[in-house]
Amino acid sequence: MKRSISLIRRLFTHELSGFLILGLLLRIVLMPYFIWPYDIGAYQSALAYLMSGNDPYAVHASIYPPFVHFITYPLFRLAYQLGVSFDFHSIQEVLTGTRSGELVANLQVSPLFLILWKVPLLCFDLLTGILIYCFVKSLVPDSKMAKRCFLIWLFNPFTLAVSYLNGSYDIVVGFFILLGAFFLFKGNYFSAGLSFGLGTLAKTSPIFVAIPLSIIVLFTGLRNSFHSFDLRTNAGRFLKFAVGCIVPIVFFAPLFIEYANLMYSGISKEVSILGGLNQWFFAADQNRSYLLNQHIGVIQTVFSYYPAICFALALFLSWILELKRESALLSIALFTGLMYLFLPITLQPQYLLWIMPLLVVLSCRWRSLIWSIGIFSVAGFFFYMSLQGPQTFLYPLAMYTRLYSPQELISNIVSYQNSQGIISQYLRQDLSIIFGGIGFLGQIVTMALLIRNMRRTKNDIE
Amino acid sequence: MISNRWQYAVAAVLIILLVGEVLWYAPITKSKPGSFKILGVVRTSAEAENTVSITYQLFASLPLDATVVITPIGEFSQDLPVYVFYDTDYPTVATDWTFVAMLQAHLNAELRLRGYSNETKLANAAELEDIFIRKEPAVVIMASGAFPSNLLSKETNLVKPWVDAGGVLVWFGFYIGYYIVEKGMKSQDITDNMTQNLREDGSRELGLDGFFEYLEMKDQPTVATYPSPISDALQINYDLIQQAPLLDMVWAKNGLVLGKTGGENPSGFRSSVSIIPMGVGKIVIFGFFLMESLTLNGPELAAWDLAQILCSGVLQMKSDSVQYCQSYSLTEQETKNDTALLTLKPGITGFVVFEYTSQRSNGVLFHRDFVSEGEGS
Repeated sequence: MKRSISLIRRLFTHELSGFLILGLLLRIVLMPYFIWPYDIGAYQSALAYLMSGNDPYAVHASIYPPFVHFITYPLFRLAYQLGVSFDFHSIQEVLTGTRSGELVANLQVSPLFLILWKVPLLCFDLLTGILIYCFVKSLVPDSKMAKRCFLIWLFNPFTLAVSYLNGSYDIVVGFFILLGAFFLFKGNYFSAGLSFGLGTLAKTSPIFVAIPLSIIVLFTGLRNSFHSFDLRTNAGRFLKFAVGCIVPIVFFAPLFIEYANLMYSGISKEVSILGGLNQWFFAADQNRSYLLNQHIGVIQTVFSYYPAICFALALFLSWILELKRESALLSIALFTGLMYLFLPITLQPQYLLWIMPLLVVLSCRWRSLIWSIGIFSVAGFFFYMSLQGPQTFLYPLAMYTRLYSPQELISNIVSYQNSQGIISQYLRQDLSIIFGGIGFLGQIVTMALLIRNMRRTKNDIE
Repeated sequence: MISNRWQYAVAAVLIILLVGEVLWYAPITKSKPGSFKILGVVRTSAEAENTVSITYQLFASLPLDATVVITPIGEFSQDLPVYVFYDTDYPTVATDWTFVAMLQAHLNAELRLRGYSNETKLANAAELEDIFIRKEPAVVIMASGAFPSNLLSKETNLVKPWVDAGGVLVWFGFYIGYYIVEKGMKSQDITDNMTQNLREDGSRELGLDGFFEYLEMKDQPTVATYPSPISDALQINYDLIQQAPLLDMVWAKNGLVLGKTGGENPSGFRSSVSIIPMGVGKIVIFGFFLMESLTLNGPELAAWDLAQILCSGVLQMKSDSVQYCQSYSLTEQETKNDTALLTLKPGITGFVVFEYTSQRSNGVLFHRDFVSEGEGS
């Protein structure tokens, strides 16, 4: 009893408690009334298929790997048993207020559905913040720095927008990449692998980071073959890391295979350049996006060299990295960023969340990375808002509160979509080009900063 | 074993995932949305006409937004293989191969859900040429906006003989047969004045003379607003009519209106989706292109429309027949018994009983059955 009281007292007197409560309240306010209107259709459909005993990939209802479904299924099942309905509600004003051929967003779900959908996001978001705090504390002795990094995460408008306005599960990926990096830093190779494996269940991207990372683990210290390179030790670590990665994927193999088949059969022919940092320049201009889609083969060929490029780079990094663990963290960020540049699928601003937590942590040692965080946050947030206007996220608010009416919402969205631009035909295209360009610049800057910091770390060692 | 507190987080996530997996896969907890059963078929002969009553039961273990459609058909047909024309060596006209590929992927899934017993594949121009020459009974979907010249040109017409022999051609795009494209051409090179274009002669070559009103694009009606009985029964979404066939002509040829109707004046009324019989086969025409993904006329909803058409029996339906259609909103654990009364007209060999749940239903349940005219007592 005494121990529990002491624990509770410690929790409330902790330097983060006040901020955590404030952050939590802010998130709870955002949870029920905001969503990216097109994605929620996919979430609800996938859930309907799951509840009906079909897999969620039956009609491409979802392009998320199994993680999201296995984690939300028990939650929604329980809520359903308690009598909560998850019906789609139709907004008649959308049907009558928009032209045929425009995006269909007339179906929305209740605020309760949105809260349940975002509960796992809230957990992973807060866990990420706390992990950032712990990680920074173990990297630098300055305790103020840990708090600063935690606050950068907790009140970053872009991270809030991704999880609570968009309702996207990319925070799960970001969390597991960070956790994998943390375990690797602590020398816990099996748990690091497990984290990357779980991340892969949430979105396949972490596996593209884990593969080059495993090469680094295997060949670290290669240059000093007589001194620090110990193949036996490295092989043991590699094995632990690889087994850790594979375990979650094997556990959830049936649905993961279904998912892989869906991606292979359906998505492989589809490079719908409708977003994505490295392709934002093209995204904003329909003519150029068309041009890019015509060259899907070229994009896929370039991507097919990604493993070879990663292998060569990982081998090179193993050669120069020695055993300094901080350098390994930079290489994780480098491969996450590289993946973002190479992926031949639809790339969207929320994918920046894969790298953001790691950048926040790394900025405590390499301050220049604050620039990357700043550029990504601004570009990501405003790109989101530019696509169809900030009001696109307000469908549930208009439908379920009196703060905003559906008629107003539709007319404002349509009016924004038709606003004339200066560079392009429409304002939304202009804004997407500007913020897409800034985001692209952010990527280049980040890559350059990571490589520069690696070289500096190497010089430190020498 | 646990050397770091964060390892508990990994363990907790794994446990939650495993609980989710067990709940979903375990036969005891695995949920079923409900069931559909035909309880009986009774045939009655009166002086004036024969009737058939079909009694069915719908049970919902999850809330179901279900519709039962019973279609009288002339001749029962096995599920035909479905080929979607996809050949990036040829250009598309005013659309994109991406949308075509998406249509195939979604259609494959939609048909599988409805228990369609044949496959949906992509086929290139050479493969289609082979199918047409062999007169293979199949459904061929052309959504790229133009015919490749090996199938239809000033010298070649493999399309019409194949349709006449029993093929089902589904068309999205400009007036059918208007544009002809050669291998290796680029989309940006396509013009109205290309010498190989058949233009208005294209539809004539395909036996559809007089079906289209060739107006300037700005003068074309765009959207059909009036639902037809079949579009209501099957929840057909597609509503574009820029290049759709004229309603009068569809009816004159004993065709069926599957989509919505609209247009400038009664004589210029068009149907967004139509079936036109041609020999033993059919041509299904959608009134314009496949639009962007996630739009009302995009590949996802067009796949739904096509799956509804292919599974409901309307392809074998006669123009003077009337479908039975009844919608239900069933709550959890609710059972509904109902009886459909249908007139047995001459030439009707049986009925396709098709049950589907709407796209907004909580439970997802599809059922297909064939009841022959001779069943019952």
